[in-house]
Amino acid sequence: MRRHAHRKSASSAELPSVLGLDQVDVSLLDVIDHVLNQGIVISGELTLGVADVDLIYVRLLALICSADRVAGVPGNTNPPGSRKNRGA
Amino acid sequence: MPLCVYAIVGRRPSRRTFTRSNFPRMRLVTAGPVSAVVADCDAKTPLTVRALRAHDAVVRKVARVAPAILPARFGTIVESEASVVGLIERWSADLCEALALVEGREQMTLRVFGAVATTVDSGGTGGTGRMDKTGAEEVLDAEHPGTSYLLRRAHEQAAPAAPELERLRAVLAPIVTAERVVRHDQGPLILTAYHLIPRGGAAAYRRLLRRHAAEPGSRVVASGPWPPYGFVPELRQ
Repeated sequence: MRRHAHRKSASSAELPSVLGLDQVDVSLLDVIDHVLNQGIVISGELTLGVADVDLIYVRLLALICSADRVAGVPGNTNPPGSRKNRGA
Repeated sequence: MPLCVYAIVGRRPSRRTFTRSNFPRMRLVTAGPVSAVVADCDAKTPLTVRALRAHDAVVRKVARVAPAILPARFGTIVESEASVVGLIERWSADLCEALALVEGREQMTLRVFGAVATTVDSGGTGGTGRMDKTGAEEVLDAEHPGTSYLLRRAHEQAAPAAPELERLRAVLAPIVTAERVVRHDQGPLILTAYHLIPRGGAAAYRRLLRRHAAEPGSRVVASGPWPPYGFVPELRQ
């Protein structure tokens, strides 16, 4: 996913067209609503455990915390989701 | 290695369309009539706008070669191919039903901004404005406030009233085959309606929408076409 995230993002031609509001803002609103808030979830209890932490916990962490925490803070060698990073 | 799930598709796309060059890193995991489009991934999924758009771009690309697609929510990660197969088999009936609904169709998303309609159904589907509680409900509220709250929320989610859409529904009826509505507690966004339309019907949808005269004080914004993000089944444990 990380490598994928650095690939070229969807071109404007691929993004949905929008009526009535600024296209960039509404497209972002739409992308967040559809991609983060809608869509099927098929994980259930068959999720990974990393360092005794269920991945569902890791996933929630990935979804609700700040980007720098997910990506890792420079100088912090503890992987996100590790016990030493569970303070927040 | 964990797998990111991008979509569930019916009828396996042909090898001619689902090629390694068209879908680098992607592969299909099939169980019966249903396949999942997956890719090896890092469990530490970064939440960035670019990653969200990239996920959507992949889903759209898959939709072009799959007549029936259920987009996966961003960040859906499973342990292995065996896990994917087990999950698909467990929910096969629900997935097949949902795939049948979306086959050959795509989604338009309609957002209604403005004041909440005063004609919202007082039967409890209209959000927080309900005042006519029965005696039994008052007892439930007092003795089991948590249960009461959850029941109320479930009722709201099950059948949200949308009087603001009544005129629009009539206008869009020739093209809309299914609708899901989500009401929002606070303005200015009152509600979001997800409409399922035939693929390629977005222009016709917009033409019909342009005929609709917005209610005074309200505004309607349409976007799409989208893969049918809003028409996926809720898979229960």
